[in-house]
Amino acid sequence: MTANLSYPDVVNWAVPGFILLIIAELLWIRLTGRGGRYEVRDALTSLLLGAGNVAIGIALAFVVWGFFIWLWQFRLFDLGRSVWVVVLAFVLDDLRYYWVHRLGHRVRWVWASHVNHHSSQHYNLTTALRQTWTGHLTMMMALSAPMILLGFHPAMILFVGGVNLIYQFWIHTEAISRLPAWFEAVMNTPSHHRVHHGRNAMYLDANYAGVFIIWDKLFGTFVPESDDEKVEYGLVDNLGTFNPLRVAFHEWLGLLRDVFKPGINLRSRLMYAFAPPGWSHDGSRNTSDQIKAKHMARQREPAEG
Amino acid sequence: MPLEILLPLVIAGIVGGVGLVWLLQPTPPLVFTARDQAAEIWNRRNPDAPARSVHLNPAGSHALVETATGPGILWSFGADPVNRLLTPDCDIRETNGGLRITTHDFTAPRIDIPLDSTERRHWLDLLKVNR
Repeated sequence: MTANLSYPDVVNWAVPGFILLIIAELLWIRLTGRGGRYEVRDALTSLLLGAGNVAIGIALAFVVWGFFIWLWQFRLFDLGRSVWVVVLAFVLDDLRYYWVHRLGHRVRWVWASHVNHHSSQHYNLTTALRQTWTGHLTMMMALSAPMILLGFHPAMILFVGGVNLIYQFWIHTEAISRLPAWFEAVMNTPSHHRVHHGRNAMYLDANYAGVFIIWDKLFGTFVPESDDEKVEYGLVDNLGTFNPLRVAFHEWLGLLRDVFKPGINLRSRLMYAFAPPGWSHDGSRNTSDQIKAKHMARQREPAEG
Repeated sequence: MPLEILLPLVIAGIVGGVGLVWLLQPTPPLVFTARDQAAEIWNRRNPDAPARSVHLNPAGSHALVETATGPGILWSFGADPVNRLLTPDCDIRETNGGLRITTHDFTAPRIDIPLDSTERRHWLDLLKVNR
């Protein structure tokens, strides 16, 4: 049913749209004096990381495709290529994205790849393009296996994944405040995703959704944007470099340094690789859970004191 | 999309986009205008090591922050602040324009602080006392 199935490489075709929307956002900010911030070196770093991501994606496309096609021979069904199957694939792939993204924040091995997307202290459309160069190392492509084994063709999986990525581009903006309530209730929006990029304690590890925010509501990770707590973007410890190589690889280097630290046991080495970011064998660092707990304790202090 | 279209498009997009940001300069560089402002930024980012005192350089680009766990530097990094507590292994040396701190931190390898000669001595003394 799906022999020779192919779809357009939608992300590459969307590149002109990305460029035009960035120009539009920039002009909007300049003309209105609101709706976001842009800084030359920050934008350059984001765009170079985006270009590198595209280049690596093209160069290593055979890895993902080869793995998917290998899996395809073990499929239980062949669900075909009807519109409804594509729609179902889109929804299920968004669920897959939610879990990959959640692991991307909760497992240091995956965070090492994803961290650069969060490394800007700005939140504008160029931030959306600040993508990883090392995604293949995380092996998160394995999370597509259930869909392929169920009978969704690999070409369809890549197509809906591309559409998902394109959807996420426009939500990286401060130019849009809030959208109609029904839309905010179901879809991922600039407001929800601003929270996801927040370094404020109350916003850490929230709103992992790609397209449908319902996954966060379903799995208990939804946090609404509060008018009382302006989002501060970036990392808990922000980078003091715009060098794309340092941005792309800094967490991998930190991870390797920790894993091969002298004088620690095997469990600690494994924890440094796979525990949540911020875990340390001697308690000298904070995970996001610890940061949130300390924040809550500080919030309570004045009331109790 | 064919590579012969994608490649020029990406290059033109980067050059054009960054050129436009440079021309429009929508966000000015961050300047620390008061010690309280710098302390507030530091404390929000370092709740475990709050500022005891803050010294600004004349340009307002850097702040030396004294904390219970040692000195830290808060500096203007484009339009935003970045901060680091100084570890004992960092190297501090005088340069023609001020001080250079080499942190041995891959994510913030070097901090160049513009200071005149008088301020430079003062900051060096503060850094010695607090380390």
